[in-house]
Amino acid sequence: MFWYYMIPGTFVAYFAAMFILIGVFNKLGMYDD
Amino acid sequence: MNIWIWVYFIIMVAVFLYVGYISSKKNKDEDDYATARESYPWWVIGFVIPATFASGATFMGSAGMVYGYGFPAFWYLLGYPVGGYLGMTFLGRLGTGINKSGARTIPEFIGIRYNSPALCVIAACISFMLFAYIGGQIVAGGTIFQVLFGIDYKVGAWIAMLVVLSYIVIGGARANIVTAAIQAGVMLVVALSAVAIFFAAPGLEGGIAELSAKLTAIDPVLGADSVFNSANMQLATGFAVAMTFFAHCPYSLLPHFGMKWAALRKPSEMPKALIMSGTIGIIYVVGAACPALIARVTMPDLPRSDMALVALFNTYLPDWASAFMVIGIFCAIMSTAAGLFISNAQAIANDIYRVVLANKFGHDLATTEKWVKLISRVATVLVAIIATIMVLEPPKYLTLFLWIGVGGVLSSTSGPVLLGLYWKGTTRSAAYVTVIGCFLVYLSLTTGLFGTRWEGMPATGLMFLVSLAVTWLVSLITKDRMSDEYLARLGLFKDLEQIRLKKAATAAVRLAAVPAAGESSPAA
Repeated sequence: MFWYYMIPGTFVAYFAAMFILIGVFNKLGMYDD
Repeated sequence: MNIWIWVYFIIMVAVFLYVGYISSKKNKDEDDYATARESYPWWVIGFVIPATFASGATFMGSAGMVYGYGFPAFWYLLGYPVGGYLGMTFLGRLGTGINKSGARTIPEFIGIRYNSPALCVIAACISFMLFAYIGGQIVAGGTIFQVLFGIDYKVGAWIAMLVVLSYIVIGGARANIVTAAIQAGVMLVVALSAVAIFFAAPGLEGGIAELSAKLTAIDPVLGADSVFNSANMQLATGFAVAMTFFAHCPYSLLPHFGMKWAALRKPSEMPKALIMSGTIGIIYVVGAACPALIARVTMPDLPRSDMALVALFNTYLPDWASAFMVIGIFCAIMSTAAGLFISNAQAIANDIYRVVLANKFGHDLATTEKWVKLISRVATVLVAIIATIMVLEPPKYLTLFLWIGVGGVLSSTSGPVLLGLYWKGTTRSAAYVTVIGCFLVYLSLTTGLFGTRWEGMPATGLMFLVSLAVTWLVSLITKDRMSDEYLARLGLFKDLEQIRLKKAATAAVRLAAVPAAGESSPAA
């Protein structure tokens, strides 16, 4: 059941990566006005 | 024939025309018409970005891919939104660059970043090749009219073009953004309805394991244990999957797409806009695709695989609801086509006339803006009409031309823009080498000049990485980077911004120290 784990796993990895990247950029002041 | 489709269609056209009219009243000047600069809050842009990303292929194509290739289709359906939206976390900053530099288009931003109008014109000429992308959207529109509305393809193509043109030519970027936000809402209803059908319709009673077993019984490569499916090149190997991911990472660089970030009210609202667009965007693709798994089991004999989603809607929803879903699918085409109409017209009106020719002709500001207004409107109409005529008999090589435009823009501009946004050391020579060199290499790959002809998607993924590497390497060995004073004016580099502010503060202190006229100095 490769895709049984792959689809939810990708979702988790995707949102984790997005929050980490946005968090890092935010910390670096990339989104400052 | 479902009469509700026409009812919704007429309401939709009326609403969009009204939006176009209101937008034309709100437009302050030509800059506003082209960019709608810093005008919309994060939740509007959070809707607009996924609507622009979702093209004619998103709903029907995603479901069709799953219907045809089973679970392995998720390599593509997960790879492209994940690549695209994660790429945006890097490229959303492009909107800040465009606004701080005063650019009206991405090619103009490249020209300003490297202080080279010639670079702007070259990038604009490459971006003009997205003409075929417009053609692709009109083909999708005509096909929807033919298949779902039951009218001739050619008439459908003209109707699809005229609907979009009617509100875009009067309202510009504002009309594009507001209508895209409305379209995004309709598309979200479609995607969530598809998810509801996946869980509620017959076919999933025994859970995913039983569904997978039924798919495997039809063909072993369709099931959840099948990692790849060699029947489709994009799903056949790990390399193809990786290239799908990389090809979509720089998607925000497409001119109709990246400019939406410039309409965000404040850069500090970008995190919320990114999260919202990334969430809605992946719901569109995966949501529309999931029910096609059960369609393959319960409706195995559909004449066209891309009709899977529509067939499910027609089977499980009442007429008024399934008609609304069809309009949602049409919205995906309109939101992409509208942005492309504007960006291609601006390539002529702004990048070629305003940036270069206006100076050559010695036009003053007022005359320039008058001409920009005329050229942009005429160019929008011409772009739309020529693109439609081009696809009345869909050309054999439309997909190739489409990818020459998309891949050409992404291959040539990824390095100069992405590195140029974050690294002061990026040089003008590196930008020239990448924009021209990577475009030519990409062209050679997709047309088969080097022997084997590459498909557009893997070639774009590869050239995205090559573009970054070339810009970096050439920047290391060349010296013509922009000065700190010049870059400080762009406001992209925080340390330079602080230097600029410090200098301004020192100047202000000096000015205050100078005695005012008539005031005697202590030394006198």
